[in-house]
Amino acid sequence: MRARITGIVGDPAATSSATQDIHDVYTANHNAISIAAADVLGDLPALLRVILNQRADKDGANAPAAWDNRIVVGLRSDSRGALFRPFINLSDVQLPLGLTISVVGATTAAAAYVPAPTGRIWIHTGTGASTWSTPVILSLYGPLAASYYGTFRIFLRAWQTAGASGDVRFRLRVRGSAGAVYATGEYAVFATANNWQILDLGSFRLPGYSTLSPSDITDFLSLQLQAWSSAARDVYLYDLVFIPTDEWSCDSLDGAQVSGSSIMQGYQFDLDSVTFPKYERRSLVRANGSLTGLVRSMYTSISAGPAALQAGVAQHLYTLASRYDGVSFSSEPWACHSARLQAAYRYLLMRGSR
Amino acid sequence: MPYPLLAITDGIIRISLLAGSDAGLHLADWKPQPPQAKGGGVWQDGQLSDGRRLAVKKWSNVTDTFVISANQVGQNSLIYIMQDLRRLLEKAASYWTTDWQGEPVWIEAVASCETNPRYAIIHDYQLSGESSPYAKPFAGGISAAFGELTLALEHGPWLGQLPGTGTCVRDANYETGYNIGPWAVNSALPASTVIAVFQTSTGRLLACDGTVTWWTDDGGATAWTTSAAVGWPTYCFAQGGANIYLAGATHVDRSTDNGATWGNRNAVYGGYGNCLFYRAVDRYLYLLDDTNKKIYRSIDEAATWALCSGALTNIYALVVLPNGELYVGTKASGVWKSVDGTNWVMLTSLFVGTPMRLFCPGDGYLYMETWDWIVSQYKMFRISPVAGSNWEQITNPDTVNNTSHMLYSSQGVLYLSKAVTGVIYASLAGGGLWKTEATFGAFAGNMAETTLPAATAKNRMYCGADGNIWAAGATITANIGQTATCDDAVFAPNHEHVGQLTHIFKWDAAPTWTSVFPAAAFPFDLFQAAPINGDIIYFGIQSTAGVPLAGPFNNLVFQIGTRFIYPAIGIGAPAVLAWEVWTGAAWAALTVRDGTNEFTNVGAQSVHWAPPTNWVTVAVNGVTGW
Repeated sequence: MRARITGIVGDPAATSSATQDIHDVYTANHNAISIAAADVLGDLPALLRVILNQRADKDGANAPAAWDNRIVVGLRSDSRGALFRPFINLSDVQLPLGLTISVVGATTAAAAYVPAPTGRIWIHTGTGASTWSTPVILSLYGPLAASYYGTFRIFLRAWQTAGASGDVRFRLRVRGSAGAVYATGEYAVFATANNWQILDLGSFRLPGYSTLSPSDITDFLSLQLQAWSSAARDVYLYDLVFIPTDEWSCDSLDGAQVSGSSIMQGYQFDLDSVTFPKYERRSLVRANGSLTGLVRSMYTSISAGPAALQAGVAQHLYTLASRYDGVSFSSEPWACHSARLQAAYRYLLMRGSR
Repeated sequence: MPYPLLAITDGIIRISLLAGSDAGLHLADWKPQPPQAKGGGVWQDGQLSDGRRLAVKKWSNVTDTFVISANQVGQNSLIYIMQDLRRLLEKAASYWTTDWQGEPVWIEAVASCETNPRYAIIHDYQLSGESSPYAKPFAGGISAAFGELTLALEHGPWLGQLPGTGTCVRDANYETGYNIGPWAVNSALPASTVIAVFQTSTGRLLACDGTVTWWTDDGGATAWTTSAAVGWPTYCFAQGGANIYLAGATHVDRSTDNGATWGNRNAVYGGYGNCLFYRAVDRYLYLLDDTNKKIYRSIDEAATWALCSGALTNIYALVVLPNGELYVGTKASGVWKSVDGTNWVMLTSLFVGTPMRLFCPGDGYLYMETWDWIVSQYKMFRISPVAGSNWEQITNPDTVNNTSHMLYSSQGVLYLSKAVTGVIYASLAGGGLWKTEATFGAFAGNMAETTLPAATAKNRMYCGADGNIWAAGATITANIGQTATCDDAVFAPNHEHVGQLTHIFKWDAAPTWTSVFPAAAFPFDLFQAAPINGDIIYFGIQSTAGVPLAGPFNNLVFQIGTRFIYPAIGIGAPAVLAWEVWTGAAWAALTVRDGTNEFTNVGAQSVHWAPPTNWVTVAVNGVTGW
């Protein structure tokens, strides 16, 4: 990857280089908005405002077209496991230690695909037999498995490269240990043969036992991705997305889905439980990158309460950005937002100096 | 804002309940109420269980009751302030019941010596207790008063910020990650197997193999110097004062010239890797005699040795902590500890397997590798010598082959080397998660980091493996990303990628190459100071061996300090920059979302693209990568 100067005209003596300041240039590769324990005060969870500024979209139409109109946010305390990452790549490279991915049978093969997050993917070829098979099994062990204890909304990002909607189904089957029963979610189908589809596999409680203490580690945690196909289809499997839902989570959707209601370049998503107390929570899209920018659209937000941060604990917010184009949800891995947070601390009684 | 304070306000009108010596409203009594669980919460209960369990708890509003009095110089004045109070409270209620009322009304409160104010939005109210307007104290004098009013305010939880406002919460996306240059042969030695690399207190690096030792004072930049042949297999170093000691299978040698020459001190006892320790507390040497499986102590610089492990037998592992505590692992009786090198106490905490090796890498933990005979695996445990009471099992990245050494680097990375396979693993999570750092193909032994200010090679990692000494990069970057900030500078990408940039090169049309990653100082020019057409900056993740986490990436994040200045700038100016990737035969233009606007926007800016399917790795300035 390089940037080459090509078009300077006029007096070269009048040019001077831009400078990089403060930190090294880096590539943003971890979906994690980190909040330190000391930065959220109060006795109760603090009311939160999250402002996500669209960074990756060019203009809502041309490449890289990374505009979105659905943002799923989840909060998770760091004490529940330092190894948690919301995206697990379905790849034969870059797997964290403690995770093995097994492919069953000859219907799934590793392949190079540069646009995918690691550049490598698994390709599953459906048999068309209209029966369920288990082409991919993720096995999490030890501290990594423990870092995934909790309740999650789990999505699959994949691409059914040809055929019609309904040709291929996917569902997730979870087993918390070798001696446990399986919990199987509802299946989801590809609405189109467009790339980067997001399939909602449902809500799962991992590892499946409510009686396990946080320090109990099972012999493994098995996540089985099951497939069904009514026709021979190739499916590119990219990643599984785990949005934690048991502390606080919100799914904000663009109800209008009209041109101009999306979060495109120059606009920002504003999930707000702070500035207008009359309403518990609002999901807005504002213009001009300003906290008070003109409201462009208002999304439906689905959540169990106000946007919130835990008081006095280190925590992370995790996000999944996707786009509904009238037919299906898609989510490109190069979508990216920058985040700002505001909070109103809440106290049970007096406040003192904190 | 004078303290103490208790007032009802909408931000413009403020009615104090603490008028003090002035006429107005006077608080007589208030017992602040905390919020209660709605309906007392939802409980799970059963006749067959003791107690009950709270299942759901949500907070209700709080109703605080204020007993106040009101007085004024005249009846109209008193009526006036009561009207203001009621109007404000009506506004408070209508905020919730109407669409048109958009301004909340709240209570402000701070005690006399309390530092911070708090605020509670009023939802509803009840005000009662106004006495007869035709009787005292309202009527009959120059002044008018209501003696005891009861004001009940239902409000939400107390807030730390003015209602409708928030305070910045600093966020970050700062990974304690690392990038380390690929491991490369630092010195191709005519050795069978380099067992150990060791840094002395002067910064000199020592290495040993079966019968020979070497040293270098420049991190191996020029050459390693061969010491006089020791003559017998040697395995590990220790330093005591100015002396360096070298333990072998049958001998312990001493060097009084910083490892340049060696003299045999003893021909009786010997040990293998990680067998020799200098205990600064008593200035004695402690040796695990691998033949007899016992611990010996020397009080005379390795000239003579005496048994100090008492009746303990079959000792497989020894480690001496910086505080002087000694730990040994035995085949049959677990782990024993001594604070004086003479008396031993068995640790009662449990683990699985037979202790085989003990390590004190420097991160505050004691690590132990055991052999689990039942499943035929090596397992790894750790314990805090200070606060820990139980062994905690952690991940052993390779359960088939034994661990040679563990080292915690100055950059916060825990390294682990494996015998036989010659693999080094690295962990940023205390052994919970390991990454394959390097694969040498044959025996990786004791590692060393140049932590002392050597002229050419500080913070390099060294390891002996595969008959050579390997060094890992000249520099280490331990942290990547954005530290906690209120700026719009924390990026949340829609994916996970474990790799990180490893190289950034500038190429001047002159032409010259300059490496700017990691940067030696900030700010630095992204191009040469006076850029010309043809100048290039390359960003890459190395993909060759030694950097196993490489892969294509889809964004770059900058912190532009000074903008790019060139003659024709602004609307209608020609494009100055071309963003390109290598496609196998040529550099191809890439369509990007350029938040830097060709490096003319300052601050936290980023460039994003969809990685093209034909993007392939390429060698740039000798480094192959994405």
